[in-house]
Amino acid sequence: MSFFHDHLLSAIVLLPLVGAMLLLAFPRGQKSGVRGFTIAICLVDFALALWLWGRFDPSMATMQVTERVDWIPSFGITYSMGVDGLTILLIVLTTFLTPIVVVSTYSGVKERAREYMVCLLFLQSGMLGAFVATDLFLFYVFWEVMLVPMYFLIGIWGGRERVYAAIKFFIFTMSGSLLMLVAILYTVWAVKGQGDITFNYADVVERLGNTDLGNAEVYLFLAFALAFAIKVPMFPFHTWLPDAHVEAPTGGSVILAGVLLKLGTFGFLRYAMWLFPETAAAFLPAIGLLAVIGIIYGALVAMVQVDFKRLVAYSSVSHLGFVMLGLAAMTVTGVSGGVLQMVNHGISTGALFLLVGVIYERRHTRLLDDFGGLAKVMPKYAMVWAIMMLSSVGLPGLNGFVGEFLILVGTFQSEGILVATTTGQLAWMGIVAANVVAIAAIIFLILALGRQPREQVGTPTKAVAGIGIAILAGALVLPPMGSFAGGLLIRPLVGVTSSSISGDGFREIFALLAVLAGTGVIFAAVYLLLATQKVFFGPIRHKENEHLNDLSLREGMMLLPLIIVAVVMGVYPKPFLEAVNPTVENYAQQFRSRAGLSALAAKETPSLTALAKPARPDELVEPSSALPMQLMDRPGMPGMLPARRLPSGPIVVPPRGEIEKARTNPKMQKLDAKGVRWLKNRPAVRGGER
Amino acid sequence: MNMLQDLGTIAPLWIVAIAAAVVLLLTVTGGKSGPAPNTGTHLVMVSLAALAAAAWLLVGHDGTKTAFSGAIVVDGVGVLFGLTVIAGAFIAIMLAAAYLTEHGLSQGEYFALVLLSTVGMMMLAMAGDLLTLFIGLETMSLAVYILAGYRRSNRKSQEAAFKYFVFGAFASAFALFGMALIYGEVGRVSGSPSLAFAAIGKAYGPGEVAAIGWIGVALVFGGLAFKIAAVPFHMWAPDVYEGAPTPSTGFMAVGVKAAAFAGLCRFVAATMVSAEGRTETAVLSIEIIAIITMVVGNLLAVRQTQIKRMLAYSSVAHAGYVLLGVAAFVANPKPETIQAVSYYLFGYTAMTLGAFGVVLAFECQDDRRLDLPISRLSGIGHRYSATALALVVFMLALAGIPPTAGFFGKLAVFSAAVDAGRITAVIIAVLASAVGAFYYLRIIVVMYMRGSDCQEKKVNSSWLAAGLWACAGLTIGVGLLPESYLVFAKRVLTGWLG
Repeated sequence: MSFFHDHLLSAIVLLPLVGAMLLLAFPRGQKSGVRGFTIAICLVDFALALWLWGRFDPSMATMQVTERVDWIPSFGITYSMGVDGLTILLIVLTTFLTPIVVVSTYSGVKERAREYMVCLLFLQSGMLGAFVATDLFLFYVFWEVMLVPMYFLIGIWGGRERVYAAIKFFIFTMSGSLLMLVAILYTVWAVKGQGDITFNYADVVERLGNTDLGNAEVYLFLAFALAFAIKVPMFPFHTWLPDAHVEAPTGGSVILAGVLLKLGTFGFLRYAMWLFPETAAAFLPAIGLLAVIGIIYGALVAMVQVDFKRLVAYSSVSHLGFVMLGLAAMTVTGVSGGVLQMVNHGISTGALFLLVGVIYERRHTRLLDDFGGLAKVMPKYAMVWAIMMLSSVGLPGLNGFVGEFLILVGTFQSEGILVATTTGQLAWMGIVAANVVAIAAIIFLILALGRQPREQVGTPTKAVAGIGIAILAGALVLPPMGSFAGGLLIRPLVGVTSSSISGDGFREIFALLAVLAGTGVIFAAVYLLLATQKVFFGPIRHKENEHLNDLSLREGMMLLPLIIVAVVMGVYPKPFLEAVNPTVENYAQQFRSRAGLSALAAKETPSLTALAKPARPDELVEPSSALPMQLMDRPGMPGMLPARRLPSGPIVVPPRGEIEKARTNPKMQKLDAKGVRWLKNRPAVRGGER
Repeated sequence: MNMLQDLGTIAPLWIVAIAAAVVLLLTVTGGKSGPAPNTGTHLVMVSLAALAAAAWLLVGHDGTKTAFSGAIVVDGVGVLFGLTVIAGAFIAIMLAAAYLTEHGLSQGEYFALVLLSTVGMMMLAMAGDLLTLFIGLETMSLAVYILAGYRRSNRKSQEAAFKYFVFGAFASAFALFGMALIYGEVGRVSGSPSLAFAAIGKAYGPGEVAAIGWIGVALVFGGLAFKIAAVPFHMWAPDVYEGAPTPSTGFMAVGVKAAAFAGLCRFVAATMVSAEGRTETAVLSIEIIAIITMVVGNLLAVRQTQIKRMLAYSSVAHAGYVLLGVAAFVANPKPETIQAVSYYLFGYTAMTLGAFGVVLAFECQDDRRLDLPISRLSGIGHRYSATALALVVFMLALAGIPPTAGFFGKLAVFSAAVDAGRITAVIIAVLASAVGAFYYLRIIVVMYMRGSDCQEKKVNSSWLAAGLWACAGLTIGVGLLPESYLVFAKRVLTGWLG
């Protein structure tokens, strides 16, 4: 058991692989046995991942549950794995989605189910391995291995143009990753001067810290960035994605959108940016710009699509633009939002692809014009669609909002935009942004309902519309209603400003980017709601649609977990944020110090937990005064202010002397150097802010 | 006594040569009754046993030993490349056993020729001077010419053998001419003409060699480049690969290439590596040939519709990657680079022979056919899942996808090139291999993604199955756990290059 305990990551990564091998030995034609076995493997893997999450200590901002064995010592290659806040949720997401995908294949994959499952399990191993690998070679192996089963999934079980799409997918991704391979080799050989050759991630990072790569660093960064940009995909490298999505079978699309694309954004964080922070910092505005172009371009193109699946595919381009924008902002809020949005997008877009798959299986068409009025014949389906669609749009109360909002705020904050604005204005901006979405949504819903004669509006349609309107109205009304409470909620969220941030020339850029990206949210509402209107409302224009079956029990069971997670993450994102936050905080701080960017606004960080739990006035922590206590509470974690750790009741604000005393407290000695430095340099205590 | 020691040193050579004679004798004396005394498991067994014994001797080898006053050198290069060609011959014989039975061709002569050719290859890999190198080259080539034309009754096979022979003789003549020039130049510089690599190295070292000496080097290089099918000496490859019986093609693609590369490594180590002032020119020349080879090979392979022709161009492309390793070796002479090159060729042997093995499995049903149109593979992925899966492994390995030997080989060779500072060439190489991925993937596409009606019948032979399993096992095993090979290579290469 102890062995198992020590090798939990290996178990999670290799279990699907072993399962795939065993499946190969299954006799042909045992369809149900094959499926049952695969689901069992996937569920066990999910359970292991949950166990991992349970064991995961978020307050440790470093790699944990690590494993390290020498693999190819001649080349300094290690089999090493680890998990941190950037990956823990992605691992859980991956293992969460695969069983759902297996369930979705019951009706979709009629032929060669065994081979399909083998590919799926292989793919799962590859993805998980790429997330947890902490060795450049091992990472590259998993990264490439992933391509093969996905290639088969698209090429064998895909649509009419599947071969073209599969090859395009493979060659696009492979060309990028081969250049990355050269960059990996160059990096490894460049740092070889400091001892034996090593591919181990931690060793390479450490050595890169005291190596001057000179001009080569730019090319190295670009090589890594290209590989990941293709995978994300960032504009203008996205052209393979719509093809791959449209041609892939439903399960393939879900995995592709849900997990595979996240490897690109994850790769940026873990490799491109972290290995070459100085160059990366110089490229951040450019990445941000491409991200915003992707957001708007993806949304606009999605708007004019006639194919349902292609529409969702382009929405992926748009949504991943948000993730990249959050990363490019390189503020704690932005990056946290980015990481969270990776998960959100996996849930929402995964569900949307599943839903498109559901009607495709019934009608064998995906053209929007072939539908209309589906809400009458498939009320349950319409309801599920409405929820997931709204989550994808970023409606407050569902998961998408949390990520997108954090990203926008984080971007806005980037490089001290706060200097120019006051807290109150920002809060209002946030509220306005959220409400613009809501208003747009309502307008479209009303338009949709208004187009049909009253007597045709059946109860289900009304129900769907009613729910939609209720949610939207809540979002619209609540914030202004409690403008005081709202202000309190938003204020710690965006942090109290510090006036001492030096301008890097980024500030105007990122402010502009945030505003532009905000329009992307509106566009998202437009294209998804337009599609919803076309498909679900209005008269039933096609006879074939009159007798479609509503969601079956199996389909319901497959979608229910996604809905639950979407709602939970929207209403109570705290546990998710808590898992991500310390790592991200550490990441952003260190990235900035290594890249020579200005330090983060010190008090920016309390925000996230505050969002997770709407603060009551008596719980709201006055950051400056409570800080020493916090530090004692959690050594080494400056700026992390989980409200729940505070003693209940009124907070005694310690006088200044207390802070000095606290510094000599033995507990405080344990503080790492950074924390102490932070404490010394912290901005002047500003009292009376409430 | 000295003679006995020398014979002991070259034991791997004569064991295989004697086995060839034994196989031939068994063929002649075998049958009193019945028309096919020249076929049988015992012939395969004798051949394989001899190869295994030779391999065992090489594996146990320690340190550098010379025989016949330095004409044969059993050192790291000799051992590593010798093992590679033995592995190639071993698997090729297994594949041939299936092929020859299927076509009703004589086995004894074929195996004897493979074994004799293997002797030549080993000699080439262990050459201590240019003369031995040439003898090895010719011993190898003559046997392979016959193997290429083994389907006597088939005109295409005849054409292939003839073409190969004429071109090959031409290339050998040039190489021989180059050797003469080197011989003379060494004599001019150092006072005593010699063909020994040690003497050549001393003469070429100080940079006093005149242009004529370098012309000699270029000619020998060209002769070897012909054998490895580097552009512009590759023209024969597609025709010969297509026309030769499939096991011969496989053997030719791996054994001849590996042996010629061994010779090339020794040759460049003696002439270019030690030469003062000329190294950069030499590196650049090899690098350019390497780049042209991989680009041309990959681009031409894309257009092929016959699988053996495609594999021919693919083997041209792979020669380019290995040549890049040779260029890196000249730029930065380290045993690690030789280790990388030999690893690459070892992995390449397994995956290429495997690919030809699968071709063989489906090509044999039509007796007139020598090649297999790629389109005929349609649907075999669903009908013959194990064989198709093996071909997938080989194609992915050739494309350089982890965790196969093809990937780690590329990584090792590219690493050596990066280490030697040849970044531009490496970038071109990876882009070329992205092109390569396209046509390897097409095979997979045809097998799995184009219709599921499969009319092809598969050869049923336990030898073939064993050969394919061996190739697949090596391709993945050596790719996943290359450490033991690397450690072994490091051990035998210790002290190489002084």
